[in-house]
Amino acid sequence: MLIMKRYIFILIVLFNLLQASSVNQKLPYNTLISLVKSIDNQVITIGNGDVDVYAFIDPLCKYSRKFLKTVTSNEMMLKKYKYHLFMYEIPRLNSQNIIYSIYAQKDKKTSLLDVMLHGKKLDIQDKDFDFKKQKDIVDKISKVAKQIGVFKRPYIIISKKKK
Amino acid sequence: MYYQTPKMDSYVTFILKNRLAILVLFIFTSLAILMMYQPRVHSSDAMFWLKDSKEFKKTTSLNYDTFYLSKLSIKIDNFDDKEQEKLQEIQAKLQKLDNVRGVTSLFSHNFVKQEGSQDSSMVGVVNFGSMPSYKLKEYIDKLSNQYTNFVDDDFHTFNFYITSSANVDVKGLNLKNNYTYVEVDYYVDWREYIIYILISIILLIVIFKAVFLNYISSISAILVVSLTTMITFSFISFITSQNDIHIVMPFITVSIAMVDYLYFYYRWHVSQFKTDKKNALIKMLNRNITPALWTSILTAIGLGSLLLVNSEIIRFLSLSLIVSSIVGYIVNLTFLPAFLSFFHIKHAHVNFAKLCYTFASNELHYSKKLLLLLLSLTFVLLMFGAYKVYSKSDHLFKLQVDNDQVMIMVPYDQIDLNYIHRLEKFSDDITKEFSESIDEVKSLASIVNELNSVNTQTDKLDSQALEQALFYLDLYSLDKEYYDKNGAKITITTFDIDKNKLIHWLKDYKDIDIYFVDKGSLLSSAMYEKTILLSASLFTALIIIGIIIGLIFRSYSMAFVGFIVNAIPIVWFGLIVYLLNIPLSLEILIAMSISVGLASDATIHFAFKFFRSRHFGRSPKHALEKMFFYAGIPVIVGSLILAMIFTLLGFSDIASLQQVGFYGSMLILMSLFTDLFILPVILLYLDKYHNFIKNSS
Repeated sequence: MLIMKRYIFILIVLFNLLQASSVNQKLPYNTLISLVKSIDNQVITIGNGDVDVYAFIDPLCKYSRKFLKTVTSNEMMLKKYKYHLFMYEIPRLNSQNIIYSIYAQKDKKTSLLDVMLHGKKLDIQDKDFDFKKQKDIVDKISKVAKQIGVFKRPYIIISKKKK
Repeated sequence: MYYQTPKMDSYVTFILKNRLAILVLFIFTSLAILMMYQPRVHSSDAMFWLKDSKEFKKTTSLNYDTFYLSKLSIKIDNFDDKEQEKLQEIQAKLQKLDNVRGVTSLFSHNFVKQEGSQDSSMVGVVNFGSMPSYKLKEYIDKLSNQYTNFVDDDFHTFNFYITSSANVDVKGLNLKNNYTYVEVDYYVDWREYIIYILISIILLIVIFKAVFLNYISSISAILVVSLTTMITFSFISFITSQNDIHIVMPFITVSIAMVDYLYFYYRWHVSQFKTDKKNALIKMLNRNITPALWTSILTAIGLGSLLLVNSEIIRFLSLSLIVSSIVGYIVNLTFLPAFLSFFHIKHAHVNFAKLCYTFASNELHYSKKLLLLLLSLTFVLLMFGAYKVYSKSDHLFKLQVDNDQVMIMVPYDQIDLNYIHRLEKFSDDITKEFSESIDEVKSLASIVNELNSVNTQTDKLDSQALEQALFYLDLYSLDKEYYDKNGAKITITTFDIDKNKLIHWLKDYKDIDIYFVDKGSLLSSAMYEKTILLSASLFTALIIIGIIIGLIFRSYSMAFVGFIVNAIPIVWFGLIVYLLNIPLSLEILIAMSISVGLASDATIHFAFKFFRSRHFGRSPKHALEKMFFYAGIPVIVGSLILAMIFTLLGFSDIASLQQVGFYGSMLILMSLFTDLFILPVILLYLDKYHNFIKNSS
């Protein structure tokens, strides 16, 4: 029994180590950029600066909200940077439905800002609404996020446009 | 030559005939000067130094703004929330004051940290000012020694470093008496300046009344000195188009004009003992016209070499000496006889003239060994001083400062890893060189590394980590604190350091291109450059003075006398300054220049009187007595008055005036000592080599 416990403990440690190494594993910069650019059509953009900031955020995450609030309240930050926001759920926050709802809106940007900055709750009017389209978007983002190793929100990647 | 007596009868007749016209001419000249010449008077010498500073030109060539850094220290009894609120209020008020561009203190400091948990987190910046006092104290205590430049260990003294475009008036903050403020520039306090002038005038009147038993001596002295000063500076302004003068500069002309005047006045005064008014004027002129002419030529040529120095302030100083000497000579030959011709002296004797006979009889039996020992020692010290200046000895130029800041800019083409690594290397190098004397090197590299160390998304600093750090700098509006479009700012906070050594090291640092932007550092750099130059020029001036005196008296030995008598006060004063660890400064060099001016005048007047008497067959003792009587008394009176005026300056609130006052009075007294006790003995020593009686026949 004791041997069994030890095996289980070792397995847990190994599993955690593997997970940790996958979190810290870094992709080359060019790969990172090409990965985020591959899902650029799923993005909500804010600002019109020369420097691209790709950010993985969760609408219910406290620090994603702080990030968005700081950025949008500073005119210079909107002029200097262009933000490509990808909604990527933190599992413990159960924000999947909100993400779907935002993606389902016509004006996604305003909805995102309403939810994250003003705490607005989005109503999904039709309960039988087909989220398939939104799920595809979220899945694509999720796949890329896992490849990149996004382990926290906000997770940012910065790409300076070459002069 | 000294044995010739110029004929002045017709000149004196001309003066007497036109005396009213001469006086009116001088009055109109003065009125015209008063109306037309309005100099900008400065009490800080910063502007004069920076004008021709290479570093200043380099900084302005890249359009970097330069500014002043000053420090306000506030003492409190106990640091609690209430006191913290008050201190933060002071910080806010300081930032709103005129000319202030930024205030750095403990409360403006931020620290970066990772906020949030593993899956939801972000790099955050927390301002110290937003923390409660107990927490802030706890935090600072943990980081012992990291913030000692902003707050002491006991939380009793808080320092606010102010960046400003001009002087900051902190009086408007209504602080209690618990503060000290180190000003960067000084306003000319005209009230204080006028009070000094008035006290000096009263002092002059009292001393002249005691010595000459009349008021006319002091009135004519004030007139001659004022005219000389006014004409000198307006003339310099006219020929150089330079309208700025330093508050200390008139003291150079006052010193030169005062002693020159005394030689003339004194001779007029004592000559009335036996002769009439007209003959007294003739004696005043024919006994002084030649030595005074030579002293003017000597000053003009001796210090004229300084005009070739590539420094506006040094040129201005030497011009003040040269022009005042020439103008003083003209005023003493024209205005003074015209003015004095209206008066007659009842008591033509001088109270302490007997002192001259005491000096003469005692110095007649001098010790040759002691004299040679003193001269040899002076010569050795002079060589030692020249070597120290030439080798740019740290000891000589040491400028110890505590809790001071130096701000530099480093230009960039783009902020990349290479640039950040160069800044990091600079930080490492300066810390290695000055170790514990450097408190903090705040730069773009330091904040980038700080931000990167708390950013869980990045490990070592690579280009992505750098981009993120720069992004967070922008996000928290910290960018302006560290860089702008022209370059990155580095603030070096020092703790008990020789600032000149630091500036010198920074100037020589090759791995990054350094531009000084705080005027304090630019000033130290400029003064360091020019002080060496001025010291070397002063040494050259001493040699030239020696050569000219040799030419005047047609004697090699007199060339040595001219050199050594001028050098003695400077050398011995230099030794005191060296032993007391006082760094060489402009104030010391101004005082030394005044001393050279006075000592060279005395050498000529003393030697003229002595050799003239010997030439006409007087015994060495009698010649000494005559020399002391006719040249010694004016030198004693003039030097004592000047020493008192300069001592008064020592009590001024203005640092520059204080120092010139203190050093000037010391050097004037040392010069007087040399004139009274060493010069006569050297002349006696040389006497045996001159066959005067033979010459006269």
